[in-house]
Amino acid sequence: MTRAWAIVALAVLLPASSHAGSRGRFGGRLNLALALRQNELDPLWADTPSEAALMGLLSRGVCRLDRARGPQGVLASEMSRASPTHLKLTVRPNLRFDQGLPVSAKEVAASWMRLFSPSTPTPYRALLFPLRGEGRQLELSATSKYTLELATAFPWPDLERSLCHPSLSVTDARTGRLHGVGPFRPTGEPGTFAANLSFPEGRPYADSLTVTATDERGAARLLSLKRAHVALGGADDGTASGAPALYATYLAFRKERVGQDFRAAVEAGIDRVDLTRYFVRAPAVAMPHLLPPALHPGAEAPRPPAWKGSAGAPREVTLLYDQTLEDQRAVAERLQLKLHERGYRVALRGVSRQALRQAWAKGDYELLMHSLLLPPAPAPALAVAIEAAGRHELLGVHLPGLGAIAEQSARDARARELSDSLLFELELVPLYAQGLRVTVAPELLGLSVDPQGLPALDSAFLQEGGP
Amino acid sequence: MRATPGEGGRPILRRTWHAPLVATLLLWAATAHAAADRALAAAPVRPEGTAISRLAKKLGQDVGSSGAEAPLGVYVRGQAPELARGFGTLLMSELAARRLGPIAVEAHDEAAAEVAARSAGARSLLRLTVQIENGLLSARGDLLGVWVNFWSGRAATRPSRPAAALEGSADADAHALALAAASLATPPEVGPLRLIGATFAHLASRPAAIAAGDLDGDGRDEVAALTDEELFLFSPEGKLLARHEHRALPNSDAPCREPFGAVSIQRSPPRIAYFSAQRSRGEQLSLERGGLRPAGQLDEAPLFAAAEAPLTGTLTPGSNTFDPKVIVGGKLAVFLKSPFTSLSGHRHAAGTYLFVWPDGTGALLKGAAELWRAGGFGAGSALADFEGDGQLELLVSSVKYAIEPDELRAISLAALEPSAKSAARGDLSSYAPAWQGTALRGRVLEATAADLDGDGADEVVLGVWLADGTGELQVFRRAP
Repeated sequence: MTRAWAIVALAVLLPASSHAGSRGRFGGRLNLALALRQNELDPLWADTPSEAALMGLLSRGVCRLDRARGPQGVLASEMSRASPTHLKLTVRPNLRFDQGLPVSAKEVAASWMRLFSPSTPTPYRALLFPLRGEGRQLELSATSKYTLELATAFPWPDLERSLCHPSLSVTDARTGRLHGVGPFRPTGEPGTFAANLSFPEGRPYADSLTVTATDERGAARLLSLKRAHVALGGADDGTASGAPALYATYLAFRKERVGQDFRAAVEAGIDRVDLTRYFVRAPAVAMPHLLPPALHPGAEAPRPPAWKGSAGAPREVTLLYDQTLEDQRAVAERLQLKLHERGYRVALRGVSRQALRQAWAKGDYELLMHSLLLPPAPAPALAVAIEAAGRHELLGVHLPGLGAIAEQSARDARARELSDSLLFELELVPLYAQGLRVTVAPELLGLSVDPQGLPALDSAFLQEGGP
Repeated sequence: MRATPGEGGRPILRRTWHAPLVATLLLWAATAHAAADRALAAAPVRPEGTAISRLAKKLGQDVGSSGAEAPLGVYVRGQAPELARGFGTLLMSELAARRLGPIAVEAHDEAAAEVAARSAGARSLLRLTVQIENGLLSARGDLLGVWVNFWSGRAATRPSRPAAALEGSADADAHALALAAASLATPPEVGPLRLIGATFAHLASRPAAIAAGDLDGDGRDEVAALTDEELFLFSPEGKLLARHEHRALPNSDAPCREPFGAVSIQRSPPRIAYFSAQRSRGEQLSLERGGLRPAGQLDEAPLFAAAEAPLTGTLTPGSNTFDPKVIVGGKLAVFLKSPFTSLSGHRHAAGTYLFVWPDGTGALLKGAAELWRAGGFGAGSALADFEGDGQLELLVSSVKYAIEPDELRAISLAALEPSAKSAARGDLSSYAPAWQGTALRGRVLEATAADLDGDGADEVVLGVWLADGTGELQVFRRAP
């Protein structure tokens, strides 16, 4: 990769020497190269950072997190609390999905109800667990055309931040097709999107967007040929990215099927730093805790239970992984090798993400790899991890205590402590966390990365603007 | 938790525990600013007192804790005599309250001040230099004993105490700047400009547009700042006079993703007109009984309140530009080739306007005739008469998108007067600036000339976007 390309840092990337008349310039066509094997645009499945970034161009949630990780309304014009257990959310009037149907409070509730559908099982449903009835009666919360009255079973100050998570992006549940409200809208031509002039946060700078799905090398090549302005998930050129690594991968196991000493065998066999260095795409960091280092900074590595060695015949187990994620496959193969040395004969089985989540929901697995885009707040992130471990009942045990801590930093600290204490109780081995590599051409200005680690492509503009 | 206006026109969610703080601020504002329409809730944030009084209080505390002995001689010199005297007066008031018996010492330099203090019967002497630099009002100096021991004979030996080096600073404000520049009342000197800047006001969100005009007829300009949620009106000293939320206006179907809009202040009848890119209509306001009252809605954006007739235009939907048509007095006056970013006029140049385009091109038009065109204009560019001599200067911000702090240049308009057949003048960077410097901080996105002290010479008020998402108004004026 040439020096001409710059890597996006967490803060706004603003080449100081670029001329733009000092304001952002509207117009032009933004070309995006995406290292992605599969264009998954359902918010419930689109949780790799590349997919979430692309999905966010077409479908947004009621709010987003600002630089201080506070919620800012997007589809919601107001979020206010009458009491610690009551959040009133006002949906902006006159919003329309990209196919033209109107958006009201009822549509928002229906979209979120998909998290509880048996056909779309997802650990992100833990984000709505604090709602009364665990959120399963969300449709009743639409008290008027544009008002959602969300009642929680216990105080949960992180509810607003949870609602900003990409998995809760609002899509039209009526049509069965994924229509949303985003800064861009489909044109009908594959890979081409047009600016949504009525997007509530303001139309994007670019008039249109073209997306080319390719692999890492292809993305880098498109950039070098000046056929792309930005590449998401491009090849690693050795430079570090400042985006927070919140895409966390865990190994889930069923103790009754793999044995009591399985965790000790895994911990003795794997070197997480090796995984991030040789087997998964950068930017990646080793994750010895339930929460990624971005949410649990400076924590000492936990001491895992000692492995006492294998005895008897090798135990045969099957590891399910997401066949669309090459990183998972590579790590699965590494685990296969390392566990073999410790008395496990591991069969690998790649399945679709939907099938993987179905297996998880039914508990129908021995070993399973989970990759989840965690919210950038320790308490909601811990809730998702607990749900991913299949310990739904623990949410009711631990979340009320966390929610009772009104002060945010104290609550975050308590969530970290709790994650440490639950580490060896949950049937979940944290492995690594990844961020999104974003490479931009010099003529693209104003691109920022949000606290979720996703690039806000609607904020980027071309130096020369449009015609 | 409640939604309050935030960056980019989107609501920011605030927690209810802000309520006591807001209530405290409301109480404070109600007593301190009875003239204001409503009390200050969260913004704009402004420190209590003027910069000079804050600095005098700080130095007074420092001197009090440094063991100064009464009576205390006070010698203050500064950038401008008025600034030094004003600061000295407030400082001596602080020192008197601390029972230090201050005596004003007049002398031509520091050594002479020591002799003068001794002969005036002071036991200790405070020597300070006060000046404005880089947006800060600063005072530096020392505290020394001047009492002479009887056994020293004729030699004026110093005692060991008190002895202290003193330093303090505060964000300069328009009040300090006015005192620093008070010598401008004398005829302007000829020569390159020297501009000094200070903070005029802080804003909780970034300004979308600013304007200046004499709303109350006292000969000094008030300053209006439009944000995505509110319009603020400031006195010439930078004190908040009134604020007005514009949420009641209908939302735009195609809002701009960054703060943008137009505001103007017209003298007759006295009105503020504004149009936010977040709204589908604009509004006129009048200042009545210390508050801003709606006086009608607008379909067009008020670009400039010229004496002869107001200039209006139309916001480009969803964008940070105005459509190419400019209307004067209800008639199409100028039809430009493409949407423009800003327009600036001046009372000394009726019918002549500076347009700036998104690509950094600027052009001076008289009526529909283009006098010249050049590159290198940032969005924060304005015509101003810094010297009060009727000759206009251009103050231009940088064309760079990301620059901290923004670069500023002042160029004499005479240097750009047409001398050839072509109106093209290349790039502004090829012209020698009358002054070159930087904003105090942040990016300059708006600029307007303003006569804040009624001396006939302009100051320039800048609308500045800060990196933390807040905004600021800064004022630059000619230094003595």
